[in-house]
Amino acid sequence: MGILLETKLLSKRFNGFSALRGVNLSIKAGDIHAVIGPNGAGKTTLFNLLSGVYRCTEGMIVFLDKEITHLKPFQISIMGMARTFQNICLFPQMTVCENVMVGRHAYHETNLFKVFLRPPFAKLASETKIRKRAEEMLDFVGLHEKRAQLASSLPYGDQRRLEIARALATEPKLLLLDEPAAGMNPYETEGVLELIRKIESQGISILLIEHDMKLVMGIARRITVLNFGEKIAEGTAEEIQNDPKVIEAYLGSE
Amino acid sequence: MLGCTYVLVALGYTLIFGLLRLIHMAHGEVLMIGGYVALVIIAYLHGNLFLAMLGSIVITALLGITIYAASIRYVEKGGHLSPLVSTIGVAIVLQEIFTKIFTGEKIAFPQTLVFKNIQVGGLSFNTVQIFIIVLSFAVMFVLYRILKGTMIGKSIRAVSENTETARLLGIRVPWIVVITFALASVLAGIAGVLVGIAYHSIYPLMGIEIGLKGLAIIIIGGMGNVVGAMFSGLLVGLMEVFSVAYISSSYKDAFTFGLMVLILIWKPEGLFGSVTEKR
Amino acid sequence: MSPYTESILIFIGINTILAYSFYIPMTTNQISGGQGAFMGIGAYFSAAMTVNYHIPFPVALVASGVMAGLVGVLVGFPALRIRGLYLVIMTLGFAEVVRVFFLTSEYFGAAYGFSKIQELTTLTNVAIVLGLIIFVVHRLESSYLGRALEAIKENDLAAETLGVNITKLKVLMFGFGAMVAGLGGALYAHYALFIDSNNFGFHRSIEMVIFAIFGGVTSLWGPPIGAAILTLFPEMLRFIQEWRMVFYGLLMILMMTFRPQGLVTKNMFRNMLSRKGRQEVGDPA
Repeated sequence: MGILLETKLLSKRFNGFSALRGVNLSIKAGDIHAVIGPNGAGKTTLFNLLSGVYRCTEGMIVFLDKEITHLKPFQISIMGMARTFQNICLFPQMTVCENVMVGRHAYHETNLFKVFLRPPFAKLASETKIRKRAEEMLDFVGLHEKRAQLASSLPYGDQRRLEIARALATEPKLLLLDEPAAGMNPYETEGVLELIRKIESQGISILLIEHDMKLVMGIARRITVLNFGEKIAEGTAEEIQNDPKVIEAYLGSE
Repeated sequence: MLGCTYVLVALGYTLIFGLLRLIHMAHGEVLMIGGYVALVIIAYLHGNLFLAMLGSIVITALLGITIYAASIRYVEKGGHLSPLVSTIGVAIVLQEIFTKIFTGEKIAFPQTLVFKNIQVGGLSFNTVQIFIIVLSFAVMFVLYRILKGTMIGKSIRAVSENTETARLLGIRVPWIVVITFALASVLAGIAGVLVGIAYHSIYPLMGIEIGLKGLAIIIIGGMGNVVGAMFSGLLVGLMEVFSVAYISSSYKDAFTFGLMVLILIWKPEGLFGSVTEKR
Repeated sequence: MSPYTESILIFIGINTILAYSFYIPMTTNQISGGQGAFMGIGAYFSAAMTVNYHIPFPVALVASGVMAGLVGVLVGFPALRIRGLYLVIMTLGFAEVVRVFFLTSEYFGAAYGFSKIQELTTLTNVAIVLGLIIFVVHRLESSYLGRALEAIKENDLAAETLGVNITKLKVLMFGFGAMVAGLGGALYAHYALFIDSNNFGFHRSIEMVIFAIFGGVTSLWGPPIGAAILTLFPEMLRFIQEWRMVFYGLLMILMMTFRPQGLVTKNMFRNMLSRKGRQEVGDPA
């Protein structure tokens, strides 16, 4: 299995505060890889660096054998990396379906001529295609009935699903999920677990930040543990559970 | 000297911004009205400068509170844009009304101070300038003591930092807001009187002009930062005086705003502000 | 049609165009308080072209629009780094700088202004320009780009991670808005026949903002309705003319207190229609 994503000595400093230091990460294609660690360990910072939202202070990121360290978020998205956000970042005043359709932006398959020169009430074929694909995504996550509702009117769990559907619409090869089960009860968490398995079966690799250990242990093939911005352990679920450094990080020592 | 009046205006903006995270677009108008009140007291009511100052302070404090109640208190729900627009509305209304009452022309501000020239070193000052500088610094000092020393001052600073926490600590936030508005408006009012004294004339449009300058100053110094406001106020004042003397008077505005634009581009948090990471 | 009616319609038309110049950057959440400057650029350049070089009006019109648009793009790049409130102030500052430029520029008449402009603006060309603008904006909004613009407005970070090139779109919208302001300025100059730097300062910029916000900046039909009502009102009530600005100011205060989203909103029609079809979709919260 090839390596999908690799970081070398990735670091991020904010005005003297080191959020991430010398992190080496390697995600294999087809994997479900989890990143865990106590609060403030730098996990979301890592996601922000990978998706291009933050600029690296040091280090390098290679995705699909190309260096993406200095690329802008939209370029990285087009290459095939999608993400969700810890604090849901939906488009509240747009409908559920429209939210997902934004994810199809790069697949618009039309040009400015067609946009401006089409006859008055005709619909562009590309638009219909986009809508169809968006609805397929919604069906995949189980939100098809609510497609005409405003995103802000959805209950919390559905909002998270919507964000995932939207990210999937970009047809990513790697999906970054930032705490997809945050704030969910065990029943909802099961649903997320199933969804992640479904996504995996589509051939999409997943990098996951989560605090819910049951979810992580149940689904991740490899786990990386961060603490205070540094990688302190990496391995399978059993290896991590028994690693003294990890235990210390979570329970504290002394 | 010019810088000092700018500083007073800038401090007013800073107080309000620090408190409510909003820009009080009618602040310049308050300054203008302060000047006019003093004018009226001196010219028509035959009061002296002290009375004029007092009257100005009282009226502008009330005015500030009224503006808050009328246009800001109930408007906050619309997002950041709404209070901005409604204070612009207030500014327009006030400015137009005063233009109608007093015509758009400059009116001579009565001389009440003995005008004497003094030589210090190689520079010549006159008593008017000294008076203004001294008074401004006195006001700044008083403000500083209030903010640092008194309960009210500390409450204001607390609310600026974190409204929720302040509320939990028992600080009566609505009152503090009102007081801050009054305080800021008083600063503007005093500045207005000083401007009148300095230039021997006032006119209704000076609200906008000086108001915009004040905005530029807090941008340059960093919003919400008191020291920054003081420093950049003086800086801009000096800059303008120099550009009038050595380049050309029409350009002085351009310099101030040009500097502001540049700062916004290169160092948006101002010279003294603190950074928040974006990208 | 009486000359008076024609004149009113022309003013409404120009004001609508100006209102759109504020509306367009707003589609990406860029609040520009300095559109007056772009209007001035369009006005002065078109005047210079027709008066000094006898360039035919349609050419001058388009050229000055393009010119304003280019300046807009130039300003649009640094504007990317600045958010919300600060952008308003920055654009205000920029507008002041431009105003001083025209005030001190000998070529453009400095303090004396630019006069002897021919009256080349007619109801026809105002209507054509306005029609084109509405057409372009409508087509834009109902396409995938419109969706992208709305996404940027709601959450530009998220939009960018979905493949939207926010830099390109934001700068484009800013430049487009500037161009529209320039066109409005050119039309204005050739109707008012005299311009000076005071026409394009703070007051003018604010007026444009008021027209757009009153009508509503979330919907394509907001600016024309806002501009139409606010131009007609002072005309119909003659005695208000004197106090026009006071009226606008009070209106703003009232609007912001009671209906900050403007008269026309994007979801207005959707909500009205959905009241009929309530049974179909689950009741939104």
